[in-house]
Amino acid sequence: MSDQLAVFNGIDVDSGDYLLPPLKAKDFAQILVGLPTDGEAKARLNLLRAWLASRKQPSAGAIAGVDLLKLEETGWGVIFAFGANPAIKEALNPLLEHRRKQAASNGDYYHEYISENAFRPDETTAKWLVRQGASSNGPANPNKVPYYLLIVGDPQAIPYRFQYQLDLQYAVGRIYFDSLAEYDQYARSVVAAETSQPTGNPRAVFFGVHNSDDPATALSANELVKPLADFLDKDQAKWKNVPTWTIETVLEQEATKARLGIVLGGDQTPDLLFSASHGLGGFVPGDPRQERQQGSLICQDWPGPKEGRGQALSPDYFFGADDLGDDAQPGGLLAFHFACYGAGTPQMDDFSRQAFHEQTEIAPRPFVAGLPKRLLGHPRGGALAVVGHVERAWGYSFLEQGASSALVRQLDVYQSTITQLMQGYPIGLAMDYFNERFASLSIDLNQELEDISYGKQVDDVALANMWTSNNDARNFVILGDPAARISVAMGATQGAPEEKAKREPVIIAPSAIASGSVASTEQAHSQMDAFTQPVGMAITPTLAGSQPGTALPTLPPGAASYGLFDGVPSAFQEARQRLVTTLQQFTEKLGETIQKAASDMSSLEVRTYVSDNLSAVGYENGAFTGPVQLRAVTHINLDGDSSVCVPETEGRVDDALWSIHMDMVEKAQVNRAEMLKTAVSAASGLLAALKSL
Amino acid sequence: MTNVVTNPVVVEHTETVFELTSGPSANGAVQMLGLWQALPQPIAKGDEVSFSVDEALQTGSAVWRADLPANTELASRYMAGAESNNHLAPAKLEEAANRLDTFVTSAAAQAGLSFEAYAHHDVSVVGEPEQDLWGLLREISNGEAPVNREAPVVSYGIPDALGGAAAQTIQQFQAFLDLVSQALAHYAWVETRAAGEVLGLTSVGWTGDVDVAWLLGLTSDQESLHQRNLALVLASRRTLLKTLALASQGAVTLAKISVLVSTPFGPVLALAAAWRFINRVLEEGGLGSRVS
Repeated sequence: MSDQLAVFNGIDVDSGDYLLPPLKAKDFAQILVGLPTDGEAKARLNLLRAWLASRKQPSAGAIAGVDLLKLEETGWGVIFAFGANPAIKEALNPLLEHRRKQAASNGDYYHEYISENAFRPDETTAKWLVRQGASSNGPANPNKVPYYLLIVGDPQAIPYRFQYQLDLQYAVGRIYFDSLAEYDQYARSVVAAETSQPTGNPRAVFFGVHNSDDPATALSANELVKPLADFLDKDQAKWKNVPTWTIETVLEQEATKARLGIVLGGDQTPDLLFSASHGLGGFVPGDPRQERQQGSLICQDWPGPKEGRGQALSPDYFFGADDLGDDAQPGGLLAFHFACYGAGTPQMDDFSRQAFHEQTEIAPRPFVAGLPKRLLGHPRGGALAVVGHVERAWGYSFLEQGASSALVRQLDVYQSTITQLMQGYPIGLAMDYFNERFASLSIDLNQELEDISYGKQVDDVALANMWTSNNDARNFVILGDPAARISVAMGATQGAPEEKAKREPVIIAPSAIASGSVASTEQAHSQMDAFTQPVGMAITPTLAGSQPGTALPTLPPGAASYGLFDGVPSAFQEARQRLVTTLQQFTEKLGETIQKAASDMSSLEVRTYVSDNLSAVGYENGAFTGPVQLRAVTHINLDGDSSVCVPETEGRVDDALWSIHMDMVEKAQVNRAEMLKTAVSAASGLLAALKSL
Repeated sequence: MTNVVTNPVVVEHTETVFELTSGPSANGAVQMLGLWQALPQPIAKGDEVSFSVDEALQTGSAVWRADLPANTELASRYMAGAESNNHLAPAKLEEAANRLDTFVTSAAAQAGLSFEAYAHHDVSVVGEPEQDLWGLLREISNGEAPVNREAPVVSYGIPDALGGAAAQTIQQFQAFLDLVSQALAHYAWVETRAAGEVLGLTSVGWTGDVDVAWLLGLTSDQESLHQRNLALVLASRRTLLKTLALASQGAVTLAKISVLVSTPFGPVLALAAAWRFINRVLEEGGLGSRVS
């Protein structure tokens, strides 16, 4: 596994290509060496250290003596954005009252952070906590701020960054919907799930896509989904007071879109769904499809990066919000989607900022993915919660560098989290394993970067692993109430053939609540956030292969709207298409070359020949042909070992030839390093350019 | 800047002289980096001087060939001329990036990225590349597409919107891209000849592995010619790749000019225009690529 690529679980909607070219760990690490160590990173490091120290206490996550399974001890709170539409709180009332009864039964442990206590624009996590009278680091103290906290608002009003950092100390989830009806629906769905009869025969489905010629999903299917399901199936024999779970795996050829529709809202929807696949991405910022479709789950139907390259991704290949019909029944489901953008998308590209020191906008504003929103706010009863990834999900997240430098599978975090979910733990608590990993990785990474800044020779591969793992752990977020849990019949006997309690869909009549759009009624806070609006004006058509007539992003004020090249003569379309094709082919070739170069980088070889007739010399299969004699060879391993064949003439070293040969060795070393660096830089630039064409 | 000669021996030594033909699949590209000529057919032999890149049918890789005169001193002078230009490349590329940023920033500062306003203000036109870019944008602005903000639906007539320099720029960038694609797609095959006789052959793979074959009995000066030619080729490859990378990055910056933002062909034109600007800056250092 040491040669596994750093692959990303994201596919470009229009080209069918990876969102980034796969890179070898060492190659990738080389572009990471310049990671920033700014003041914010150092402040976060201190927070993480303090938090990790607090984890050594018996009641990890909260102050001593608090049972994290009891809301009456942990407390529960809801955080609104400053200026949020009051109707949202009203729509959530069923859930808020439900939690109030649970959390306030033993004291004042229920809090609504609204109005003056709401999250304010550009407020940091630390400032918000301090404003509430809580410590900005260390364990959660429910006497000051409840342990379970539900954020209500989109990531522009309450940034993902706030959620990431708050999640280190607390159990945090988020909901955001486009309509009040969905808020109301979700609130009722959670209450209904918790007040209905617990299931005595729970089901879990592990859905693992493995697309052809695709190393990313090969890894996720074989190293994550399957072993995770196998582990849980065997390990549950040790669990006490938990009913036996029926564990089903849907892998590879079975993992089609049609099959996903059956287990994701269809008539075989389980209590727990764990999926691993590519997520749909690559939309031009502002593409009207982006917020609805980005993060959709790409299924087995996609022919893979080789056969599908250069083609727009057909909706037949991916499962998104639009595939969850009004007759679906995701009620009671708890879903975990391992996929790029599965939970949402930030405005700026984390990867390019970290790796290339460039702020690249990938969306006009950050947003929550369409599929989880649809699942949670479904009119026939919403899912309890969805765990997903903001930004790209990485192939390295379940692989770590072992003692022998080879990558080894490490599923402890996944196993522990899913185990707790299956045992009925609140999702916010179960996900704490990811937070702990994030904190630990961040400390290690920051320390490594600090050491590098003082001249430490970096272990490239280890650094790449640390960075990817760190980002991956940080960006898993909960969409939904962090106190939501799968309602298993605690205390049930293993294997009890108890029929699963039927969850009746909760259907809200359209007239039951105000039908106003949330977006349109949030002008107050939108105005407050106006200064955070991007000023970028790079509004571009979609990539080649888009369906004609696809609507384009909104143009700047005063500009006319137009369809995709409507009215543009074919001559230009042809010229543009040819250019795009050439660029795609070149970029693809460059990516392949980088991969090949990286895979062959374990050694460097220089061979020197002589000939009395070079005109007759050819070159085939990587070697000279014709009248040539090999006189010197230098083979350099990157671990420093070298082997050299020295040229001799009549028993003596041919000094002249040796000098030329060694000069060539030096040139070869310099050239390789520089050319690869340039190629990586060019590949990233070309990919960015291609996105806009 | 480029002269075509059939007998370089009669050419002044101080003049950089290269032979020119075009490659089999590099339509329109005639010269790269002010040095390398695209060849459509087997290179000339004899005393002609040429630095060429062609597609070697035998190997499938690009062949970078220096055809030098038999006179070693003269050959060394040709090489020195090429080297002196080539050494300027990194600095000129950096300069191009900075000047493009300055150009766009100036436009943004004066007109809020609005080309209509921009067109009525002085811009920081500091050199020929800026003037050229300014003219290109003006041509687009004068076409129908970008400035017709009144109409709810804009019709883009290619003769108007892509006539003249705009269409030419896209076409030239395509030709450049074609040639770069060929030149960088495989390993580099480097040949150094003197009076038609091959002095040295080198294959350099993307992984950095090197195979080099020397003609027996070379003088140290002749050996040096091939070493220098190899260094020239490697640097040229990097410069071409950097040019392409810089153009793609510059396109993002340039696309902020509203005249490009509001056209459906804006992104393509931004990319081509960014390359054209960079190429013009390189030309100032004798490093431009010439395409037709």
